[in-house]
Amino acid sequence: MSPLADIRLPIHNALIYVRNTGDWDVPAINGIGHLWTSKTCVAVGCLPDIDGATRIIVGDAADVPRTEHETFDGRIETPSKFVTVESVYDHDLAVVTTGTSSTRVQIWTDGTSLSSIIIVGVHRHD
Amino acid sequence: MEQGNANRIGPDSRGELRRGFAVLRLHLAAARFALRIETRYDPNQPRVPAGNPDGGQWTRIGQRVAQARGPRGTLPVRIGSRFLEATPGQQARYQAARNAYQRALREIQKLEPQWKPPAQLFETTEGAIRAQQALTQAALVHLRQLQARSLLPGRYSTDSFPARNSGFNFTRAERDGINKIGRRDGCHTCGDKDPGSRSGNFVPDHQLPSALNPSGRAQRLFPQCIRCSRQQGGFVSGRTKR
Repeated sequence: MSPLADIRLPIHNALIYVRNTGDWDVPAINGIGHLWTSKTCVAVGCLPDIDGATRIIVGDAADVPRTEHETFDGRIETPSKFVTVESVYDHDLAVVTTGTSSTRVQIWTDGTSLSSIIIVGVHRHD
Repeated sequence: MEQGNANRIGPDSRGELRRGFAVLRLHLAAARFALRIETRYDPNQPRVPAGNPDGGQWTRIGQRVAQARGPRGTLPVRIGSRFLEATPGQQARYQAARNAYQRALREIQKLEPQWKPPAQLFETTEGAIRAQQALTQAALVHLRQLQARSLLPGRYSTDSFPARNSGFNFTRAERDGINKIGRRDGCHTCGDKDPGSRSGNFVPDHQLPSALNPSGRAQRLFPQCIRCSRQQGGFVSGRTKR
């Protein structure tokens, strides 16, 4: 199967959120590093819009391509049983049904803090 | 010795004297009462202090004018809803704190129109000055927090450009202008002259941030580094999350 979303966008604030749809907590983003987490959200740094567009791929973990730089592999609370991928100004880049109140998420990047590619793999019903 | 004995007062004379004093005290009280009735004199009534055009004149009780017992060189000054005695030095200290408070409050209320520091209580002029200084301190701390979160122009902000709109489609001239300011003065939030981007460009940062400017107030562009831009993104999302 193909991924649910494969888009290229200039991302202002150079941040992508992978979070519970509905209520969520913004991680404490201190600008150091490129990954910040809360119970309900993972924020990952990407290429800033002044440097160009970021490619964002979202889908089932079994369906998305991978890079050799796995940046995150963990669970977030998803009481809504949906996961939303968005940026600060672009809401709902993708919404994935998970069917579970705790969802395993994997994120791959190009290995830099200014990653031009963000791949989000969601483990559904897992 | 005999003469001395002649001047001694006997028990009867002492009683007469006591009665005499009592009558005198009664007359004195009556005279004081009559004087008040005639002249409306009240020894506790306040007077306008020296230095005023009406200095030394009695004032009506309840007129909220300074007490006559204030030290020389003081003036009644309205502080909040009250009048207090203040020397020129105290007035200057109060006014300096008040001016700093109002400058900080004007900046904060661009983003948070309802923000107010906790109220302060005071009784004396020095108390009023300390209360005003506490308000100023609270406003400055809050302003610094907002600046450190890039939600207001930062501590290192110098020059800026008027933003054409709230979007992120910048012209070449705008980008070059922002880079010039950034390389000279650094990120407006942290002062870093390294933008941290691949291209070496600074982020043209809208102030107020576009997501926190629903009323469409005029915005300006300031140079910002990637680290502060990300941090700002987190704080903006915290305020706008759905």
